[in-house]
Amino acid sequence: MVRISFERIAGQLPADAFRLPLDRLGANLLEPGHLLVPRRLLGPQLAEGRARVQWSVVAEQFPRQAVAVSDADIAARLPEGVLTLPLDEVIRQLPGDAFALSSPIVDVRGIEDFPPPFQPHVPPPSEERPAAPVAEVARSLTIERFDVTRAPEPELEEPAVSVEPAVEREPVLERTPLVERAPSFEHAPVVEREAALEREPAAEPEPEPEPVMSDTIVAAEREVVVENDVEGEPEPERVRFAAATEREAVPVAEQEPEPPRVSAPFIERRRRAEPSRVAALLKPILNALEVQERRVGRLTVLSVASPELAADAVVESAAMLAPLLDDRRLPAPASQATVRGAQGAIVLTPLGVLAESAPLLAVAVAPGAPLAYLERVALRAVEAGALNGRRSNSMNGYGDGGDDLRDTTVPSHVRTLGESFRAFGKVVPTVLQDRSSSLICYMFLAPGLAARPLAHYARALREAMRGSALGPLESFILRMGEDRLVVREVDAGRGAAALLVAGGGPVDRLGLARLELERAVTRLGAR
Amino acid sequence: MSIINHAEKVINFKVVYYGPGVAGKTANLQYVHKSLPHTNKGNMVSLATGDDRTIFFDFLPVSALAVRGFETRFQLYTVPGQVHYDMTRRLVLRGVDAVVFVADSQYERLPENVESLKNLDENLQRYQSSLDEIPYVIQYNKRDLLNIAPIDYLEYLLNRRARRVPFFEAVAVEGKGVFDTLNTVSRMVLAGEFGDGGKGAR
Repeated sequence: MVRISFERIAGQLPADAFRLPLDRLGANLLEPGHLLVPRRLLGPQLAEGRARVQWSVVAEQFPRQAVAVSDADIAARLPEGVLTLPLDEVIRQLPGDAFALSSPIVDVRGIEDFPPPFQPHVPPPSEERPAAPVAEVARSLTIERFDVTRAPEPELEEPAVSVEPAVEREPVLERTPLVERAPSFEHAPVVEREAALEREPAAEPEPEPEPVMSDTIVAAEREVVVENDVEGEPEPERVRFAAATEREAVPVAEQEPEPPRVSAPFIERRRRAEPSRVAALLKPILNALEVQERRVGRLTVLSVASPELAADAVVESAAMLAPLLDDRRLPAPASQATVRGAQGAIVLTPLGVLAESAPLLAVAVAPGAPLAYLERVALRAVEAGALNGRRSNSMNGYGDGGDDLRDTTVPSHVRTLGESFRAFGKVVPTVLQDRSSSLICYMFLAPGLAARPLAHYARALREAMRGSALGPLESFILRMGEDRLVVREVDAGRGAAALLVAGGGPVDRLGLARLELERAVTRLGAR
Repeated sequence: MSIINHAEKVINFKVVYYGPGVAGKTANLQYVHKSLPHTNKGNMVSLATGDDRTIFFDFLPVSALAVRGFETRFQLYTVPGQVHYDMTRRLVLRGVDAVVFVADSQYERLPENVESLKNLDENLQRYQSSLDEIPYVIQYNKRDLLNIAPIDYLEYLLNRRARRVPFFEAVAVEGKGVFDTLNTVSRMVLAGEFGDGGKGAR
């Protein structure tokens, strides 16, 4: 038998299924404080890196008079119907040779004839400088930095039917020609590096294009080619992207060029050309999507919707959410928002300052569809369009709705949760509650950010989504340059509503951030 | 499969860092990039985007020693760890010469390690290869954390094929084990390519 500390698994049990509190329940087990699990049941699972047991196996160790519901009810309420055991406790109790392997270690003696090919560079003390943290290097290596170079738009010059099927584009990943062509790594030509980057979307898991486009888009593309010729708009000077370590010395913010000075007629012509330009950028996924330009009041929406979603509903949702991208309560202008609802997801990307009549690109897909490629292409649409993301002087000034959000004491588990966030940097936990609806806002914000305005902001977002065709809010991720703000709906159960609002500052490790958010939502929902 | 440029006397190898999400694949490449002298490395291309931790892949070209008059260059790639980016992983694996499997040592990540290793083998088989044929090593990363599984159990989980492979303990964000891993897998590639033990190496 393997003995498992009851306190390590108690959290998985439905507390209201027992007549005793869980701490007293543990003391009344067949072996007080422990569950006993037959070792033979665990052996096969250990090869998969997990240890779980069905309720029926351990049910008899619980005092029957303490159980308020049937065994079937309890089993049905366990996650995936089983109790997950702490693997470390299981492993500790197995004999030392339990995992002894009979197969020999691979014979690698042949490699001793080769010296180690790579030696880390140890700079002499004179040239030594403080090493950048890995996270800092990571931040400097995001795709946004690469996109400071204007992406070439060869699609505009190609007839629509020339779109290459995916199978022909895939081999670009096999060997990036960068290394083969460059005689030296030190000064590899920028053009080659850009070429490599431009081809990389072939690796996307997104649907690849059929060589078919709608007539309207084809026509629009031809128009934009002509328009560009008339304009004679010079290509922006290519900006060489430097290695991460080289970039560290100069923050990107300082490198941002001044917005180009352009005339009003030029802006208008650009505006008219936007749908076709965006269509060209989105060409790789246009087999499933079509671009439409629609006016909603003063807002121009370039909408792209997958066939499962009604185009009108997408435009309406985008228009409903647009004011939240240009909102005074945000610490910085929004460059992109990804909103997931129960019925679909939408990526909103302002192609400039919305209040100055810049269009809003809205790409909507069905629930569960991958969004990363869309986000990237949409961001490229902004940068390729040479429109800037400066803050408007007339941003939407939503009222904060009075003081109907009241501060409440931050519970210890929320404080602990706040301390567990690492990817978001240091965050300050705050809890606010809506007097009228009982909505709770768990705020984990970067120091210096006021919680109340952003709680109002999150509540407004939630309300907007409830009236949206995308369905109730699931998650909202707002990019503000390097900074990110995340809003998640928390399933608090029993009709209670809660939101988690996190971030506001730069996020170094997106993967870790996601894991931390999932964990936080789960823990807050379990309370 | 290595690519040989006879005109320039250069031979290219492709090494892919594979493993579950957030295991430390990118951290490995970042440390290599940070630590190698400029004369031995190109720029690191890191395609991280979106707020879903979507990493398309990372790419870092590095040059190494000369063997039989050929300069050897290694193209280091990572794959996205998330389960649903399998097509990207398959594409990155195409033409791979060797693999570093980066495992997360934490107990709660063990099932994902197992799943990722299976996925690696399945994807290699699509290219008529397998883990029994291709040179690979395993790196048990995050050994500095508290809730980590013992090495003998990790070996039981991930390295119990008929042919066991070299493994390394690592803390990639601090660089521990990073170069041991890279050097070993690179030397395995070289030994496979220059089967006589690389007498021409210098």
